[in-house]
Amino acid sequence: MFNVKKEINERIGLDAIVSLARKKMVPMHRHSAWYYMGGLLLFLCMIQGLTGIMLLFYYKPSAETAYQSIAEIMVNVPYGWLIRSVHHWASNLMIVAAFVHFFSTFFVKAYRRPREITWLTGMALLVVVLFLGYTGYTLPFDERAFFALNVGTDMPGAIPVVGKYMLEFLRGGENVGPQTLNRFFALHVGLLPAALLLIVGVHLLLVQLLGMSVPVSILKKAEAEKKEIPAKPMFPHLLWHDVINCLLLLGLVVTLAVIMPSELGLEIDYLKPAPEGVKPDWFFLWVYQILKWLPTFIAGIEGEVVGIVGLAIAACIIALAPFIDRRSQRGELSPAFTILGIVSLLVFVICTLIGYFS
Amino acid sequence: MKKICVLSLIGMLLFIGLLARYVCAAEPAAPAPAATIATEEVKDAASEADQKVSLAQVEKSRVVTGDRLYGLAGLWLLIALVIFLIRYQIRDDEKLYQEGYYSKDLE
Amino acid sequence: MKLKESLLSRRQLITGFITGGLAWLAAYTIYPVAGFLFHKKKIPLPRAVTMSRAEVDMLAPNSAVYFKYGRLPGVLLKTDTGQLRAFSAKCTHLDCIVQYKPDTKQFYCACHEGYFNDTGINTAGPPPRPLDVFELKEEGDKLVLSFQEHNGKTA
Repeated sequence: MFNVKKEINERIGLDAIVSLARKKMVPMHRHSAWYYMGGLLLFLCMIQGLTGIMLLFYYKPSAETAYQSIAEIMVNVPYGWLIRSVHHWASNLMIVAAFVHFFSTFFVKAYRRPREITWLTGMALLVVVLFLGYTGYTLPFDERAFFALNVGTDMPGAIPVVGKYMLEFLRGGENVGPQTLNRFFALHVGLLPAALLLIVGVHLLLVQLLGMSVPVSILKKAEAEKKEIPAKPMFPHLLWHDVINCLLLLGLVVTLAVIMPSELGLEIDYLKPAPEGVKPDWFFLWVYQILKWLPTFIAGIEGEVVGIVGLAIAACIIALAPFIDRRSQRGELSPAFTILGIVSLLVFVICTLIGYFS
Repeated sequence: MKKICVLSLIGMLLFIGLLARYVCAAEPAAPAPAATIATEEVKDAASEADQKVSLAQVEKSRVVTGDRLYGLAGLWLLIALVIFLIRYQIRDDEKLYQEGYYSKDLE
Repeated sequence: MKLKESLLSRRQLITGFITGGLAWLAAYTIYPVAGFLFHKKKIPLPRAVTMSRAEVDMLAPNSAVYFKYGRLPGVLLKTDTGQLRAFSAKCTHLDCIVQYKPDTKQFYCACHEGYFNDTGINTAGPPPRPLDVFELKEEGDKLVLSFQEHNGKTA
């Protein structure tokens, strides 16, 4: 009989992949739960890709038609409200999951040798995901989108020297206009997803090549007790756990989409003043809040410039943590960086909350 | 080696020649503009209204209806069922693994 | 005779159930997805179109003009004898738009060399059936064209 499995195996060496997968072991300790975050993010990525392509079937990316086409998706297309809301909620959860993944990796110092490149690709992915969220927010081209476009593209304008060019590049002119929407559309469905796919590929490959990182504290404890860290095979044990997580996540996303379908604001009116309480989407609230607190001028420099440059420096320090945190690199506990992580997390959470409720 | 070089050179020249011919070719005569005659549509009154979607309609589409909740409940029921079965399987795998077997080898 | 042991191991049974459950779940998820993707935008064709009689009278004999019928292209032919005929201008082969050749009194489709005669019958080339025919009526100074076959359908 013709054996499909055998025939394919002969050509692409499936056995090698299977035996490799069988050998994959995941260390089990009290921080193991964080290992699941990456799988959840990957699942959310897939949901976003699929629902995003589906929305592209009906979305018309131009200033004249974008708003109306979204309204049509919501009203006329069967389950359009559901697909759009799933895309909306999955994007929000993806940003949450990305931050959780980021902070948990930071706290267990998984960026230690030899995983520096994995860490850097992860930081790049966080930035890409944030920009995907922001550009997606503007695509309905409603009132909220219009203000988000104005404020959001204004911010890079504060960066010294290159700011002006970045602002004009993003806006496609000096002001936000119909042309800006097409740029943001190109970024959201073209450049950013392509970048995401490429970097995710490298990220995953490195994770597979290097295996899971074990926190220093666990390693030290095992060393002291002269015990080996217990491990479980990835297939089938942990893969089934991943499937369970993904199913629960799917349920959560659909529940949010059904209970709170995504909104569509008013149509853009170029002459209308900014409405009361206009704010960026939640994942940029912390930046918004910090910039709001800064005085107009700090030591003769514009407060906004100081804020943005300061935040950029802070982001760089965190991104370059594997190269700065010498103690972790030597396999020692590194409380300074744990404190840095806690402070960053607190600033992020508290500023977001204040921004949300003020 | 020399032969290959000469051949590829000839090939390249041929290609450039074809390209040049294509680029320099006179524009093909555009088809004469088609003669047309204006028409007016006779429409049923109803079919004209269904053009623009209003914000009120969008808001209506966001209402949580009973149907949607039923659909959601169905989804959760299926998810719960599958998770229950998978957990059963995991317990089995765990037990085998503790006894020193690798479940995939037993199949 | 009764077997002492089950042919199906407990493990196989559970694996089967899981596969079935996941397939069920997939179908449940794909249902709205399919509904979304297979949505047909309804653009109804007009019930009929009218054109000015005076304009039609100005047409030269043995010539044809195109007209719009909602989103469908139509072609109005005035024969040598002044008789009027209206056809759908879509070739019945692969929906290209046909053109009238006065010298041979044929409709010609340039895509795959299809020919129809001046009554719309397919005479040569790949077209499988004659051109669709419009109904022509005169109402006062207007000429009313309607498309019985497609009436109520959408483009």
